[in-house]
Amino acid sequence: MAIAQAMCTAFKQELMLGTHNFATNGNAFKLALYAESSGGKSSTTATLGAATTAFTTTGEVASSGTYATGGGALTKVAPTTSGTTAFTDFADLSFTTATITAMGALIYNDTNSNKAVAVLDFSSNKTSTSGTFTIQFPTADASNAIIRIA
Amino acid sequence: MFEVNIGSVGSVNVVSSDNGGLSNDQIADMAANKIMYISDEAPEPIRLQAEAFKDRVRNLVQYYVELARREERATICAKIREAGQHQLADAIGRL
Repeated sequence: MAIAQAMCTAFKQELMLGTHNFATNGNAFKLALYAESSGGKSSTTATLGAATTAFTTTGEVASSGTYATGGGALTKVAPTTSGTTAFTDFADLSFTTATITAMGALIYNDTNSNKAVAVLDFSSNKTSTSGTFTIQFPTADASNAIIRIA
Repeated sequence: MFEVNIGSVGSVNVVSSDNGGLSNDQIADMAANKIMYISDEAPEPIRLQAEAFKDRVRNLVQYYVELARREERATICAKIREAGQHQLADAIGRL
């Protein structure tokens, strides 16, 4: 599979090195959209998964509407805990008046050398035509939050 | 030895539209999904009750989203009409 949902392995190591700061006044994170076979830039296909270490332009969808290559800035929600699980969350992200076909996304650290955080697999191509393309993050709890450490 | 079970990534929900913004229904679904999460593993009677409640929440949100949009359009129409653009105000009012 060209795009496989995963927390990037390098990210796990970088957590131990203190590379990523998810505090609301911490690092800036972005979300970039990717296509597998159609909707991508220059007909390239994205290959993203646990081995991804940094943002790449290969397979990224083209700029359209309010989506610009490099992706959109994420609004962080301060990390918290529930039971023995720590988790963090982001506000939903929307791109408007955009024509986009995307199969997945990459969350990366825009402050620290575009280092990869997590790959999101949409399971199928999601499309907007001159419309809104919204990524809704899951409920921020110990079982569902977008990034969890248990 | 400490073993940390690290590395869970949640599933996102992608909502999209064509030739315009998201519909009232789509926004209401998104809000309901944020307000309530119902586990697939919940006992059936509890899950059914939770789903019924979530449906009520969704319908309530849908009503107020529609109301908010209608009132916003009314305000925009009034401002445009004040500026002398009556045809444009009428067109927006018909949305």
